[in-house]
Amino acid sequence: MSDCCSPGGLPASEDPGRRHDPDCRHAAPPDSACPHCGSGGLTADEDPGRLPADSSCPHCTAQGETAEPAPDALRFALIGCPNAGKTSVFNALTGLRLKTGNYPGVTVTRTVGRTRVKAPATVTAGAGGRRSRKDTIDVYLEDLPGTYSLDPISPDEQVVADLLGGRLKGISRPGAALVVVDATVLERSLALVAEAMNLGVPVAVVLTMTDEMDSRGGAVDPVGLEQALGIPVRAVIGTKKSTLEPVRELLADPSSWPQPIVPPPAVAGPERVDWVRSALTEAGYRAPSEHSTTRRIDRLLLHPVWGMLIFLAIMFLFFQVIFTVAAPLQGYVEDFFNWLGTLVTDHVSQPVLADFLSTALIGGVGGILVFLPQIMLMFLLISLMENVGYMSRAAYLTDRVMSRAGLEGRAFVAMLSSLACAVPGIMATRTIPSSRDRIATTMAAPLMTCSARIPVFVLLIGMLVDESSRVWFFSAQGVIMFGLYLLGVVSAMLAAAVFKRLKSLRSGLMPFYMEMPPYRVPSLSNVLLTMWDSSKEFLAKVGKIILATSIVLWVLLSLPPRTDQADAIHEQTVAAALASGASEDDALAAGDAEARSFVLDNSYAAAIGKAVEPVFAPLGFDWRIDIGILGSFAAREVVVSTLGQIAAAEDPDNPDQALANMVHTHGDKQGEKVFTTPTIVAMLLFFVYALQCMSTVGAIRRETNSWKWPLIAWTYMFVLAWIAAFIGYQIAAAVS
Amino acid sequence: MTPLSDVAIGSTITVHGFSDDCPDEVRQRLASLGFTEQASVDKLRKAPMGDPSVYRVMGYQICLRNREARYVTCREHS
Repeated sequence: MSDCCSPGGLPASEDPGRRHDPDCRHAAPPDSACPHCGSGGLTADEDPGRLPADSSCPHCTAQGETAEPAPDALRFALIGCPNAGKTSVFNALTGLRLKTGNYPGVTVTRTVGRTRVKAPATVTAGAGGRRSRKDTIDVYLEDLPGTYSLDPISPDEQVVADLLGGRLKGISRPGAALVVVDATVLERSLALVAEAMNLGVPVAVVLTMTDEMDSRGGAVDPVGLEQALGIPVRAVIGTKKSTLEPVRELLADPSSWPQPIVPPPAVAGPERVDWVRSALTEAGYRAPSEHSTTRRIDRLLLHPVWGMLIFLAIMFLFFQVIFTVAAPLQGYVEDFFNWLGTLVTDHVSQPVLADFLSTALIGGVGGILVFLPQIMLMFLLISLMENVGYMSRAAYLTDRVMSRAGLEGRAFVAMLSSLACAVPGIMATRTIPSSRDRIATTMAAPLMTCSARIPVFVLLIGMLVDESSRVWFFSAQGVIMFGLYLLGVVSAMLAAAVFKRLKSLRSGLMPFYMEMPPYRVPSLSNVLLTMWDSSKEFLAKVGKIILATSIVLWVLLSLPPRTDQADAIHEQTVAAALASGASEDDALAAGDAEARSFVLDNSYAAAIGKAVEPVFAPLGFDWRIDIGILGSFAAREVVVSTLGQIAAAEDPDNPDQALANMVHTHGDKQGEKVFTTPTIVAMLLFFVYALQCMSTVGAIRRETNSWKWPLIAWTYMFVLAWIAAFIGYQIAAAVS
Repeated sequence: MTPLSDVAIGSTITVHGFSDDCPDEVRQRLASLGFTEQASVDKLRKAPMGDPSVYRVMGYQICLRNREARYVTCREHS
């Protein structure tokens, strides 16, 4: 809300010309179903492309007269091939992005930024009835996904074409376009320029990488190119902000841009080849020589043996960083929230309120922030690899393997990240250009064995085989653990292959092509911006879902509170423990555990656990395991503490033993042990497959921009989990 | 005419055209990427498992799978 009513984006304190606007349109909450509100999560003030107010729309009338959506705002589409430096130009021009969201209904990211430019004389006179306070105006830039052609062959390119053609529902057509062209590949890029010049809006060219062009012995004269094309051409050097001033001047008034009377040939063919050739000649174009550093590095990094070994080493380090380096940082976050939770329980006397604040609220926020170190580190590394140019090399080396699953090399990093945690893994799918591949990867990624499964596996494997048992020379526990990892990876690849066969995700004739850009020194600000944007988006979008689920789970697991009975049990247990010679701390701890498990046993969750018992009975689970599974929806490892709490009630001194000795409380198995070999095998298999993780569900929701895919993911994984557990149970029962 | 996918590593070729079974969209896209008639293409390297390959065309490097490279017909230089 802070910059709602300050058109310059300045906070109130910094903008002397700002006055409070009581009718600020942000007072009315936007509605995603309304075309005037929901264009990719951008609010009216931030979204210059929003359709004008419609009197038949309740959201517009409710907002009254002030709801005009920045009518005179100039909006520029930023077009360019991948690797052309489009995002660097965007970042340098706009500084921070206003907002990143999705285009309505699709999984293509939309990025809009604002920049302030000197107003041309005509505008200063006072446009739109609002008297200009300054001689500057705000213009908006929309960073479109990189594309080699405006003639779409994929759904993602269709979005670019639709936006530029004004066919996108809820978003108006940009008034002008900037084509960002990498000077070192000018010959190829002029085809895209020719297509842009046929859009029917003013077009200008921003020429990047001119410094690299010089150093590689190439030449192109921007003035000559401007004459040849008949549209403005401005050369920029990404690292030098001063070179962007001429571009800024252009942005002030696109209506004054020269445009050719007859546009160049729009379709590929001999005529366009001729047009490109003559334009290059007029611009004094000399092709750059091969980037010698790149050639030398590639000789090593793409070598069939050395290249593969270095790739494995880099991926090992990558995995180590997001898995091992992030762990202590995550530990600090956890410790901090545990401390905060204890602080609250110590100072809030009402026990149910204290528990809600510490467990649901603080625990929920902590459960979101705990992912932050991992996500920030991963995006730092991915952004580095991408900006340096290594990402496409890694994709080149792994493409053959990934193609077996119907995916492409660029899905590899997402799959690898998912071994640490599916949430950063799913966010890493952004490096995949095709949205169909992105969804297929997202649907398979949660099957990769993530770190949250480890404590569950450790507990269950510990109950299944003895620490000292051996398979040949190896620890049996280690062998089982490895087998479970392998099962997860193989299942994920199979799942991706199946999803790629679905009609809506099939690539069909969509060709695979990937530019291998020269190695470049990345700009620190671009790398940090990527990291910042991704982390911010994660907190905003995924965080809400995690927090909401955390609160719902608390309600189920802790209510009704039965405070009096719980207190009575607490006192009895403490008294009994003290009587049997336990220390005061131990006695209090035993009392706490007993009281907690009493509440849990009588909670709504227990009622649900008992109600769903028939569903899980074929897997050998009893209602207490079912509570654990319900609780583990918050995060898989929670099942360990939930089972621990239940077991603690039966034998506070030795919960592990209590768990192993736990017997069925009712039904035809009454008195028999719950954790038999078949049940443990079934549980292990269940946790290999089930999507017991609301954070992952939230991430899928965020990245696919719909509830459909998370729902499909949860359902198919639950069905797989149940079937695998059932088969495992039957086989283990038959063997033992 | 040799399909681009069958060209030996290290050789330079001239694009002749596209095979008859090449779908229109693929033809258009390969042309946008620089594989136009008379364009000169170097085949630089093959991935460890035989696919994809890296080509140099119009002064930049691009990676294509054999599935697509097969559609490009070319004349091999000596």
